[in-house]
Amino acid sequence: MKKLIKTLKKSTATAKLGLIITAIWIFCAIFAPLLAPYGPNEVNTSKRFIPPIFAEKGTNEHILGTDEMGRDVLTRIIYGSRISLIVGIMAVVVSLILGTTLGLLAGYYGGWVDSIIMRIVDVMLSFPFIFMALVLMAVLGSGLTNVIVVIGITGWVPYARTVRAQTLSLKEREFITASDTIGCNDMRIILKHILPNIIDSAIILGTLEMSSAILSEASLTFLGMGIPPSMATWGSMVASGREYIYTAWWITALPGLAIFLVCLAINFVGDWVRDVRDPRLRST
Amino acid sequence: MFDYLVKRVLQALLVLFVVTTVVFILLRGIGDPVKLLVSPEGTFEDYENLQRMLGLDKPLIGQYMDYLSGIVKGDFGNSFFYNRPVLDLIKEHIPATLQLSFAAIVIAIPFGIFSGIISAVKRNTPIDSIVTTLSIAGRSVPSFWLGIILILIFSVWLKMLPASGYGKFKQIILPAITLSMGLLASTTRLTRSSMLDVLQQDYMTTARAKGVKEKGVIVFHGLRNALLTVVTMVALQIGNLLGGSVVVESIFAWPGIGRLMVTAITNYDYPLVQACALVMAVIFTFLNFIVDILYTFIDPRIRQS
Repeated sequence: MKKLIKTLKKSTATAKLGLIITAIWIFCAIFAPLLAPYGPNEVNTSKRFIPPIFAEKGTNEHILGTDEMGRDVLTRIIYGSRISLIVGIMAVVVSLILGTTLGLLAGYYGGWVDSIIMRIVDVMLSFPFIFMALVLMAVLGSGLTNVIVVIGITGWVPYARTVRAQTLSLKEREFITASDTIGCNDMRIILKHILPNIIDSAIILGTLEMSSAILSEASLTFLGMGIPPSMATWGSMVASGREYIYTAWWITALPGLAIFLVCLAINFVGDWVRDVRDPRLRST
Repeated sequence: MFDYLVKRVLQALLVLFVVTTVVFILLRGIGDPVKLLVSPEGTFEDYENLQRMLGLDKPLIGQYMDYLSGIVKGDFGNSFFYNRPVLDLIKEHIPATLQLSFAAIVIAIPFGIFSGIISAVKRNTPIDSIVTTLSIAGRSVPSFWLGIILILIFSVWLKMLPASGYGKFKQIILPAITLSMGLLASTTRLTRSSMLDVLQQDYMTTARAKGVKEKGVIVFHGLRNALLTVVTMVALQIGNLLGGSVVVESIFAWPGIGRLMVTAITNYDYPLVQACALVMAVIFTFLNFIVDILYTFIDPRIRQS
């Protein structure tokens, strides 16, 4: 704990800012019902298009204004943080498990196992992520679980490549040869000796990939293929507010700002964690 | 070298074949295009007629064979929705996407390389922190939101630039800036890190010792070596512009292939989606291929591995 505080004290200004924003974000997601002044789908047609408090005619009843249906924008942003947090964590977990497993298998066994996995990687890299995701979303239908699954199974390639490369070099080290000689089976070598040595970089990669998972969810939802508009999400708020950009800019601008700030914070923290834990990854 | 080329071509063809097959299979799962196209008052007979007309009454394997033999002959079929040859539609839409991507590259590469150099040369100064922070910001900004904010500032508030449309120079500025952001950020980051690598090399010291002026050292000895890695890495990133264009084109109503594809997916327009996927995969694979070949020229060690 002391060590953690010491590292935190030495962290860069951007990392500190990132940690603060991340903390606020997670806090909002957990305590949304307690923090939000209204309900996320509380419609009030007599209070449509109220500007935020810092604009002309803003009121302190609705700090960030209201949208086309009179719903409170701040409330919906607070509730939207839940979706982004769930998607960010779960999608990364799915890709991390998938990518690490495939990377370990490819790196450890080599030969045809490696060839097949690497050809799948080639296929995954041969068209834009968003296209694959859109087709898969069309197949599975919109919804939170499907978004997580789709982002998870389209995002494993970076993990597989990193893990494979590290496994290849670890495999040649003496302690692996030693375990092999004393009769450890493959499963034991992979899980007990290789995995603990590579999991650090996979997790660091995961922190950095979290922001792209959140951006992907928001983009899919924005294009109308992600999470249905009935749920308060940042992507759908930006999309539905877009129509009113000439009269009520805050409906679309503010939720997008939330996405931007959270992704920025995650990247600040991720970069810092990577520099502290594993400076070798810096150039990639 | 010849063996390596043949191997890479075969690999690329295999990838394209798998992409074609996967997309074909996936699409059959998204929904029934016949239901979408037949009029609400249509009878079951109308439904069956239309199904026969689109060739969807055949068993899946037959459809797949028809599709593959069509591709070999250069016939990608007719779009269900537009009822026109898919190839014509793609030919009409691809110039807009290429123009937009080109404009984004023209913005991103020079600015990215320039700011990357500045930040590497002025390492650990406020300028470096600003550039690094901005490049992280460029990586974090959702492109659809950036597009909307640019429209808000330059079209709604300042009334300087149009919010959508295609054809005039003024209309490409905002979409190109939006699309360029990701590439700009990654070019900056890559230039910075490869420049930092190069700056530590002994030949830089040698050049200085010879009495070359600092600017000359950086441009002729540093940049030339740093750019090798940057160019190849950036070429790989350019493929990502195609993905980005899907979102950017739908914000700015840009008539490119990205928007065409999104509407094709929502219309269950199988032939059009298949063709768009193949076009994207061909462009991607081609870029990867070129980069690999370039790499082997720059760094012959790769060929042996």
